[in-house]
Amino acid sequence: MTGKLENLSIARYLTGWRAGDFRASELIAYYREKIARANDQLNVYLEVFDNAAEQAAEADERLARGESPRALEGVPLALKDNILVEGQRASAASRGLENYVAAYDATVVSRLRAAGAIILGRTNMDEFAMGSSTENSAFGPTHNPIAPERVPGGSSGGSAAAVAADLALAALGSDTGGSIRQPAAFCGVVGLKPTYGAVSRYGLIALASSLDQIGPLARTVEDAKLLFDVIRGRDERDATTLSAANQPSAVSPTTRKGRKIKLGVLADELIDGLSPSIANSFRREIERLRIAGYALTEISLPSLYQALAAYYIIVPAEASSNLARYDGFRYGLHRSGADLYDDYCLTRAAGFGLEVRRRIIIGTYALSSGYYDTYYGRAVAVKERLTEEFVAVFRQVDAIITPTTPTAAFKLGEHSADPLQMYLSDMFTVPANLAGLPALTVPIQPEESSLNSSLPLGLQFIAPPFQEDLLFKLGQDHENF
Amino acid sequence: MISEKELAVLASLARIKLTAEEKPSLARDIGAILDYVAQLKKIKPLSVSDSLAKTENFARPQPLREDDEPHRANLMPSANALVRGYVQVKSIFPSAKNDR
Repeated sequence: MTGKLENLSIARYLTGWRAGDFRASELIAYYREKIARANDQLNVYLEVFDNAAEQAAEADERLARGESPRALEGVPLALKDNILVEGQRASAASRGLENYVAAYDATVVSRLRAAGAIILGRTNMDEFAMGSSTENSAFGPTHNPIAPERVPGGSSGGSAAAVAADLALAALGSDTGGSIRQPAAFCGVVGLKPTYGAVSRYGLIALASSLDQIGPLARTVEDAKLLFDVIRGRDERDATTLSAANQPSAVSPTTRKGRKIKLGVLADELIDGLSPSIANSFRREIERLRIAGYALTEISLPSLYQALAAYYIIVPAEASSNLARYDGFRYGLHRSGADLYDDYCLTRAAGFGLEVRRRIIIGTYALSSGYYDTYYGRAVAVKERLTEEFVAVFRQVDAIITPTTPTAAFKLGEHSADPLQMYLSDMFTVPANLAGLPALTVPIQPEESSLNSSLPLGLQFIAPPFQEDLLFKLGQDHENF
Repeated sequence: MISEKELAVLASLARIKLTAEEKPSLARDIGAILDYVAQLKKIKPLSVSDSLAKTENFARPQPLREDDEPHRANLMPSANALVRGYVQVKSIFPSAKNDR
């Protein structure tokens, strides 16, 4: 029986379940048993929820009664620990929120429930989504299922590992500077960061409100699309959401009927600077795309070189503001000091890990009087110029391709002593967040001759706003190579 | 570079108590990051009118949530200390009489 349940996709699960090949409750039991065996070693889940079996049984009963199944009926999903599920703990992998119980469902959770999906549990992450390796979790790192001595990436490392290790059908993560795409690449799965405003952030524990987006991690592009179609859309509770129909796109979708899709590639010098394994793998993919009929052209994004610096001003600045709310009085960890101010200082010191404290302090510096224009003002200028450069590039090409990451998954502990080195992992993913663009990563294999030929890499596609459908088409074409 | 004195000021603004042991390494790490992002100093900043023109598109009316009971049963038990249904904190102006 378990053979039929192994490494399913959402699409194959729905077909098999509706045909009566297996029951939803069997799939839940399969995952729970696998999680029980694997989680001590991999530390993927912080908690598996008790009510999944009951919901699966209800799904089976509905099918038996002949009721029309909903879009994700009985689909077991893993959710990153920063997405609120009413009545369940959500800690953002922080001691400060270790026992916090969510008072409401995130909008994405309400939509998933309405579609019949089952939330299996909450997955490990870098604390408050600050990190690129899931080593900043207050509850221990997650191990990459493909190579357990290596990181799964971050900050949605638990979600990526859950999909890669067949511990859920698919997962949701959040992406502020690459936190879905980079772990998806490191773990060999598909990951989508939607257009900023495509998916509601209501009920997502905020890191940087101008950049955060919730998105799917899945085994196939089709599954990513299925999940995205359920969670997307205007939400009255998040004023930054836009419906695709009404979005004020600066670039109208290019009409591609009857002509080759044009893909933009960054200048050679950027790729030459990467390790030979990554550079050669990427060039191989470019050649495959050319053979498959895509037109490839070199593009330039001059502000790209400042993008990472701008990101590491904007995110700490916004984080210092967003995390000011955590004081332990209304919820969360609390420490008592000599007076009220001391209560705040001790509570926040005890609740926040090192990277979180680092970023809050950097953000406080960047926003302080005398430095605001020097740092934050200029970072916003880079963000806006980069966005304009993307608009200009999308007049020449339909989408852009890049490697998702400059390296394959690194070893646990390799970068944790050097925060700046860790930040460099985000060089290819950050630009899409700064410009609010949708981006999809699909897994590719490195060159066989390379040292780490068993470690997956990612190929990233970036599209104009609200053209996720183009990304899915590119991704599915790539899957069919 | 950032001095430990500057770090102490920032920590107090951020309301985070730092230990003596962690201050040197934090100062060093934060200094390295600030040195990296200082490349932005070469960028021409936007003028105020530039910024406003671009952010205006996002200034759409924010719908208001309907009034209901804010002190819901599932919110109040999370508070660190409750007194007669109020979240209790130490007084803003410390005095022996008022503090618990």
